Formats: sequence, C-alpha cells, structure tokens
Amino acid sequence: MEVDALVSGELKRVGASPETIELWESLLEAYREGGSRSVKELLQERVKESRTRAKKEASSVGKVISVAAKPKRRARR
Amino acid sequence: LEGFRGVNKPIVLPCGNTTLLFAANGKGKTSILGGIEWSLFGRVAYQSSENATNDELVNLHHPRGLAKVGLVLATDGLVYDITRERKLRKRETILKVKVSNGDEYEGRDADDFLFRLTGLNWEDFSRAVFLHQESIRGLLTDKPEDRDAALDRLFGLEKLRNLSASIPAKVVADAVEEVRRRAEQATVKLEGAAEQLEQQRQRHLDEAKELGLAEKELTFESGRALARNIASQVEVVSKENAYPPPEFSEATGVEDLERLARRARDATKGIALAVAKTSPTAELTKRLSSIELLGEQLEEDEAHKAEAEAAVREHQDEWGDEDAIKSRKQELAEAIKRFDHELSVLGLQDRILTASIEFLKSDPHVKNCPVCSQGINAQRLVDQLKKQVQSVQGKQASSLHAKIEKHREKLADYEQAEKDAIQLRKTAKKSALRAAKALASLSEILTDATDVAKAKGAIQREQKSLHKKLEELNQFHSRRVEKLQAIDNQVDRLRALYRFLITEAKFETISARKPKEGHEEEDPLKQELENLLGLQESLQQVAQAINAVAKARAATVVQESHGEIASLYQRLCNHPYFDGIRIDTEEKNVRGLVRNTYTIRASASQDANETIASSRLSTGQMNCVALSVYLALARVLTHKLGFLILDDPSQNLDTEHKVALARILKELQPATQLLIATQDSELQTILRSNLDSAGTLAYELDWHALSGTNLAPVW
Repeated sequence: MEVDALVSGELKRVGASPETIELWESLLEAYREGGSRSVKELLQERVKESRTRAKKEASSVGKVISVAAKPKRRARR
Repeated sequence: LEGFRGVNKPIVLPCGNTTLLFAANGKGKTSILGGIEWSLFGRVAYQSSENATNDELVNLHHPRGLAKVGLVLATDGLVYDITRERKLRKRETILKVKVSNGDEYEGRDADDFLFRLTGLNWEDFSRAVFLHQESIRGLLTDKPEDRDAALDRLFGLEKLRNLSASIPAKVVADAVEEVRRRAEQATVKLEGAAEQLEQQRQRHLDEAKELGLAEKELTFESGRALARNIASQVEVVSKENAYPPPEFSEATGVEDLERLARRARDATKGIALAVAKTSPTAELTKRLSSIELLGEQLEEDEAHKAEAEAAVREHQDEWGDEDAIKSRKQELAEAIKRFDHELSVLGLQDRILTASIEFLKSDPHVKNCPVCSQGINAQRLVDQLKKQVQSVQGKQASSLHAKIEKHREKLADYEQAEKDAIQLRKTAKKSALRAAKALASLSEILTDATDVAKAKGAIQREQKSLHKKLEELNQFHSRRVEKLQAIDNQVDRLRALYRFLITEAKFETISARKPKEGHEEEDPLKQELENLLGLQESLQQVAQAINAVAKARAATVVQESHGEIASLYQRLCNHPYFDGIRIDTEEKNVRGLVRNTYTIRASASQDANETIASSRLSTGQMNCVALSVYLALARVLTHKLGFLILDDPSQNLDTEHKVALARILKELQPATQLLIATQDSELQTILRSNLDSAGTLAYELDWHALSGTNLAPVW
C-alpha cells in the first residue's frame, strides 16, 4: 500500500476531522503538482490569507472605533 | 532513447538477462539508466531542475527539442511497449502504452496502468529496483541527517519526509500568536470604546433631560417632529420680519436633524441681525437725543445771554454808557492838561524869579531896574523875591501836582471802565448769537419752534411722542426676541436630541462589532483565530500521522529485511571482527517535527561488542552496508518488475568486496534481470569472469557533443 494511503488510514484511525483529511489530500495534491515547494507555498498562502483577513478585520475594528469613539470635527460652513 | 539528457541521436539498447554498460564518467551511463526510470514514472531521482519545465531532461542539441524514451517490457506472453516524450518548455510529458493484445493507454490512464503492471510507485522503484549512486553516497556521509534521509529514501519514506518537512509549523504558530494578539487587542479596544460611548450617551441624556426632553422622547421620530415644528415657527417669524424663509426638507436620517438645527439657528441669527439693521428704534432714539441736546444747548445759551446783558446793564448803572465814559475821560484829560499848563507857568515864574535873584545877587549896587529903569532897592527886592518863591510858588506847585495825580487816577478808572464795557458788550452779543443759532437748529427739527418760548413747548411735545413710539417698538422687539429665543431653545433641544441619537448609534455600531456574550465565535477575528488553530491542529495531526506511518513503515522494512541485510553484509564486507549489522529506528524531534532517525550498528558476535558503523567502518565497508541494505530491500519488497538497476555500485570497494558483489549478483541470475553500469574496469573484469555469460550483453559507451551517446557491443 502506498504511504499516502497509509497516512490517510492513520488519520481516520485517530478520528481526524474531515477538514484534516481534506487538508492532507490537498497537501498530497500540491506535492504531486510541485513537490515540497508547492506544499510549503500552499500552507504559507493559507496562513498569509488568514493573517491578511485578520489584519483587515483588526483594521476595520480600528476604523469603526476611530469613527465612533473620537469626537466629530465640526464642519466648516 | 532519443534527445534524453546525454543521448541525442536515437540509440537502441537490446537487453539480455544481464546487461552491462561500461564507460568512463560522463559518457551517458546514468542518462540511459535514468531514461528507464523516466519512461516509467516521468521523473528522475537526484536530478536538480533547471527551471519550472525541467528542460534539463531534453538534450541541448536535439533538432526538435524533444526527449523520447521507449521501453519494452514482456511478461506472461504479453509485450508492453511504453513510450514517453516531452518537448522543451513543456511541463507535461506524453505517455503511451501499447500492449500486444491491442490495448492502448494514454496519459493518466497509462500511468495507472503502469502502476498496476509493475506494482511500484516511483519511491518504491528508487529503493527496490534502481540503486542510484547518490543513494550509496547518502549512506556514506558523516552527517546523520543526510544518512537518515538516504535511509528514508531506501525505505520509501522520502515523500513522507518531504511532506513533513514542508509543514511550516513555526509560520503557523507565529500567525496564530499574531491573530490571537490582534483579537485580544480588538476586544480591549472595542470594550474601551463601548465604555467611553456609554459615558457620552449618559452625558447627552442628562443634557437632553436638562433641556426638558424626556428619555422616551429621545427617538428619531420625536426629532423629526421637533424639526418640523421648528421649521414652521421659523417660517412664521421670517414672514413677520420680512426675512426670506429658509428651505427645510423633511429629515430622513439622524444627520439631517443637525443640518436642520443649524439652518434654523442661522435663520434666527439672520432675522435678529436684519431687524437690528432696519429697525426705526435707532433713528427715533437718535432724534430724541438730538432734540434733548439742542434743547439743553438753547437753554444754556439763553442763560448766558441773560447773564451778559445783566452785566452790561450793571456796568452802565455804575459808569454810564460808553459815550458818558468817553465824555468824562475827555474832561479829565483836559483838566490834567490845564493843570500841567499852570504848573509850567509856575515853573517859568520860578525861573524868572531865580534869574532875578541871581542878577541882584551879582550886582548889589544896582539902583534901577534894567527892564523898566525904575529905581529899586536891590536887597529888599531880593528878600521879597525869595519870600515869594518860598511860600507862594511852593504851595501852588504842590497843589497842582496833587490835582494832576488825582485826575490821572480817575482817568485810569474810566479807561478801564471803557474797556470793560466793550468786553461786556461783545460777550452779550456772542451769547445772543449762540442762542439764536441753537434756536435755528432746533427749528430745523421742530418747525413750530420759532422762538424760545415755543421751542420749549415743542421740545416737550416731541419728547413725549418719541418716548411713546419707542415704548411701542420695544414691546414689539421684546415679543420678537421671545419668539426667536423660543426657537433657539427648541434648536438646543433638537441638537441635544441629535447628539444623543448619534452617540447611541455609535454605541450600537460598537456593540454590533463587539462579540456578544456566549457568541464569541461570531467575532470574525475569533473565527480567523479558530481557523488558524484548526489548521495548526490539523497539521499537527497530519504530522503525527506521517510520523506514525513513517515509523511503522521503517520498523516493518527493517524487521522484514533485517536477516537479509545481515547476511548480505557478512558476505559483502567480510569484516574480520564486526560480522553483524543492525539498523535501529528511533524518533527525533527536529525543529518541532518528529522524524525517523536511524542508527546503523555493527556488532561482533565473538564478544558481543557493538559500535556505530560509521565510526568504525571504512568508506568501502560502509558502501558494503549500503549495498546490503539496497539488495535486501530489493528482495523484501514485492513487486512485478523483474529487474534491478545498479549505477556504479563499486564506489570505494576493494577487489575482495567487488568479487563478493559479483558473486551475489550471479546468485540473482537468471531469476532477476540485471542492468549494471560501471566505469570501474576491475569490476568489469570481475563481472566478466563471475557472471553467467549466457544471456549477458555488454556495451561500451562513447559520447560526442553533438551526436551524444553511442553504443558498441563488446560481448
């Protein structure tokens, strides 16, 4: 049996979540496409996307706070 | 092969039961062997890539820029014709399999068919069929991690090793920490902002209440109604004061309330300003002030005039009029003149008497008067003259002097009186002129003020009239001010309401962003953190599963091949003391990743001594270890490919080792087809003498830059 299938079996045996199984399959797919570099890039991209979303979200929170909590400048007439 | 690596022009390599390729380094041995690997799996181990399309696999001089390898396999009466080709700058290879029974396969189907046919994947091929020279070198290195990697490759665990090493555990952990920090900071900021806005909201609520708004009225609907009310009031007041009414649109949002409030406030200010500019109050006040001032002036001038006239009259009573004063002055001057004349006559007489006395004194014997020639007594005459001079002349002169002095004093008094009279007359005239002027000015304003008496009455009447008008105006102004003030008060309430609503809206915005208690998972940042934590956990599970499989697989392979490895080692190495070999498998944590690590131990059966093989064995002996592991694994792993490929297997081996290797290879004949490439002439000789010559084909390889590798049979 191929090692890929053995790892998939091991993941199922330890009760890994469907997300983990899916992640493993995506890692295999990436490895097939471009080896270790592709796997690393795939994961780094996912982490980067998550970090970027979090950064944007934190920034939007900051914006909401700055608009809501700071006194409004009186408009010139 | 054609156009593949060192091979350019097409060559055909008929293989016997054993096929030997002899050539010096760089003549194309590895290219031919790699061609077999590539034809089956589309890739070659230990071949670093030139670019993304692996163009290094295509020969530089091939006229069509094409690499093409055909491999013919035969088993169970069927022949399998496998062809793989690819062009320069193309990522994909084209694989075709034709079976003698007429079946044909292409692409992915052909790959799947080959897997079913051979029972091998690429990793297993590298450990069970093709002994690369790099695999041997990996075991010979001093670096444990390289040796571990080499053994992982031999055990078919290279893919798992690479996958495990590709997991960026630190990057994920750093990202988790970063997102966790952002989520915590956002929570703290949101809570702080919510608290601040709650305080603001309370303050604006208090302000609104102070302005008379009830808490239940603090709604947008109330604000809109209030704005509507203000707009209608502003319109009424604008009309009353002939001020252009501002346009008020219906409020559709909270922000409109502030805009309407500002417009209303502008309107009330504008009305107040315009009214101040056009109001008659100022003019009336100015007229009243002018009349009062002119009245006062007239009264004052009249008083001065009366005073001056009284002074003139009083002066006249004392001194008479100016003509009388002049006449009296003239009289006095004439008297003084007369007295002066008398005084001068008296002086003449005095001088005549004095001269007569002097004459008589000079000639005391004179008998006749020199003037009238009458006889005279000179002495007696002298005495008479002296007596007259002393008594009469002296008295008369004194009297005259006294008179003159007295008259002069009087004259001076009259001169002063004359001056005073002139001055008083002038003053009276000036006062009269001023009074007349004041009356004239007044009569310009009040036409019926034709004289002083009438002027006073006119002033009183006008004052009364003006006071009345001003009173009326003030009353109107007060009412207007009250109305404007009432609007301003409503505007203040509207603004307070607006501030409250805005703050409440902001508070709600912040509250909406704040995760609700018990629903923290709805927070996008928390969700992102959960995602990353999920990814981290999944990766840990994957890494653990990889590790478990790698460990189990390595243990199984080692266990299954242990006896075979030891036996082959004994025969190949023939070490005089360390006659046994064992591979121990352990787990090792490398930068957060658990990996297999292997220790090759050599043992001495005579006294049960053990040592780490690489520390005691020579490079050639370690090569024997590598060959033992490879050949043992080749026997253990079950697959359907009945051949073995050995690329330069005799590195660092001495003659005895090479003979032992040849003998082991001979044992593999004829059940296993062998394909051996070597540049070692001694091994060449040993193989020639040891291998079964039946079915063995040997080739000499040559190479030219343009044509590439050429084959020449030598046996």
